[in-house]
Amino acid sequence: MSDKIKNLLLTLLAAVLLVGFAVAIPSPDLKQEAQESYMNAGPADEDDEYAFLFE
Amino acid sequence: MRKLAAILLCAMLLPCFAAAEIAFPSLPIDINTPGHVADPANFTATTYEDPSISVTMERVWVGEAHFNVARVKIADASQLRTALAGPFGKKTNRISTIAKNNNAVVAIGGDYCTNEEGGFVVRMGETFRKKPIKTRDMLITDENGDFHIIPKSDAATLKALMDEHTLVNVFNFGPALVIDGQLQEIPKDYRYNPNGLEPRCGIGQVGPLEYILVVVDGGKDRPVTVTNADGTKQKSYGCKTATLAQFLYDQGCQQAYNLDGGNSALMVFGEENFSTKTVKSERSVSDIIYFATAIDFGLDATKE
Repeated sequence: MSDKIKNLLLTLLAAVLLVGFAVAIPSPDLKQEAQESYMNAGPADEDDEYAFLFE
Repeated sequence: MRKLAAILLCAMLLPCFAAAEIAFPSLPIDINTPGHVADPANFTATTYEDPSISVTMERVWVGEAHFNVARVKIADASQLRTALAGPFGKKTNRISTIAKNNNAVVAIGGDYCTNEEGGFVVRMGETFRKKPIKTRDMLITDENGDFHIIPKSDAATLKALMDEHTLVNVFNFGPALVIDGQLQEIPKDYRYNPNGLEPRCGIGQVGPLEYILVVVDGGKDRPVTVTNADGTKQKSYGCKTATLAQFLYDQGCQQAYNLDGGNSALMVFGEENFSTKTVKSERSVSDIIYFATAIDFGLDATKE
């Protein structure tokens, strides 16, 4: 295998790894979404004595 | 006769001028807006004074515990403020850094609200979490800067309070130390070693817009050496929560509440750590309580 092909393969491998890490790490937007979802989720059940917090 | 009329006129107008002098625009009730930058010329080693805020700092020994005390009077409820280290749940920082970022005249740690999943967390009118902890007492500050303490986060009491007042800040640490002028018994099973000798942090309201902050240095397992004003050195071993409660009660607090102590206990005055812990040994936390000047001295731009 020529050096050129080796370099190309290594570059491709590095690019794939970089993309993989970027996708694996959750972005702040996702966390914010989760936070908002949690806030708007409402009480656990109708008898929750703190249900008024969600009115 | 003319002189008398002039004197009477002046006497009538004087209160108007006086009132004009003490009226300040409120600071925004917004978690992301800091207070105004205080005028450095108004600081001494132990005081800060301008027409909107008066702070007097003291250090006293209670047995073998070194108490750092701040007595605060403000002109407007908006000067009682809280701040986060960054976006809720995403960042912690040193109390001294958060205080500096928000132009605090004096600051202490809050309840480290992001350290656990529970709690009804409200800061500067913004709600971040709606999960009251029934085993904890709740401290609420309202639109007038008044404190309300709800034992065991009682739902009915909370609802009644919400019907009458705007909740500006809600803390979920405790226990309650003084409620309506009554010294409280400290529950033995309350979290975070109430009966041990630990570093402590507490806040109390003495009267309208008048507060006391206390941070107690050291602990039984982590005594710290304090250098007194006369140069002598002494070890501080922290105190029980009951000792902090008694101190705040003796100072005339009508409401008083225990905040996150232990390694979080810290008091900042100006831009310096007033309690003994150094900046290097500070724990990073999520939130602080602070007081700021309501006067724009034209220095805000210098901090941006």
